[in-house]
Amino acid sequence: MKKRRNKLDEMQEQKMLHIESKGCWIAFIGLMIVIAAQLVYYGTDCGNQIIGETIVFLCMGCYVLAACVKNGVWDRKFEPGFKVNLCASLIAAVASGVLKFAIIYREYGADGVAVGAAAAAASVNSINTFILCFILLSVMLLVYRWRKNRLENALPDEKEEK
Amino acid sequence: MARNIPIKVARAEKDMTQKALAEAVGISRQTMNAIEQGEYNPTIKLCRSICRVLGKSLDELFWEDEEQEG
Repeated sequence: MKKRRNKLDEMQEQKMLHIESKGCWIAFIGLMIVIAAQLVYYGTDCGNQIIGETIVFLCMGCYVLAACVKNGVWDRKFEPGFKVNLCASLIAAVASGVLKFAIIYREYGADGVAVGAAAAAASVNSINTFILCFILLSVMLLVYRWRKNRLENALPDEKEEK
Repeated sequence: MARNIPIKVARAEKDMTQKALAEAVGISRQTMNAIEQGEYNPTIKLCRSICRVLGKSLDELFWEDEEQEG
């Protein structure tokens, strides 16, 4: 099939990229909210109902992660390192703990399950999330550093260019 | 970013409208206007196309003193 010519000039192209980027973030955050809301509302049995959203969400996340690492970029504002990974893992742990608490409380709260039990389950979930997230981020950081070094060293030597 | 007066002057010298210059360069009028207003920073490729159409050098149309750059 013949490839259509781009009808946008460079400024319009930049604007289009901004619009697409914002749209992508809205979809990403929207999916996250929808998945969380369904989990809280329908409980843990709604696995089949949210499978589509979860696959799309994971695909988006994996693509962004892989593309960033491939191109040797990490974040606009934060320097990659132990502290940032720790903070990000803590945020993920707290978010997942709150979500787990809400799910259990909504599912079993009416049956007289103590708040303490829900809190305990949420804590275990938080710890698991924290460990997994921290390991994943640390591995990704190593891969990113390796990739960045490779991209930097692949450039022709400045002396040779002269 | 400061307004790009040299482009406007060079365009007037050639008796070209913003639309005509934009068409000659192959961009939209809104982009040409944004460049003249200093709202958009064009790529070097586009700068060269504009220079070629207006018969001016890059220095004449796009060079800015340090004071203007701020």
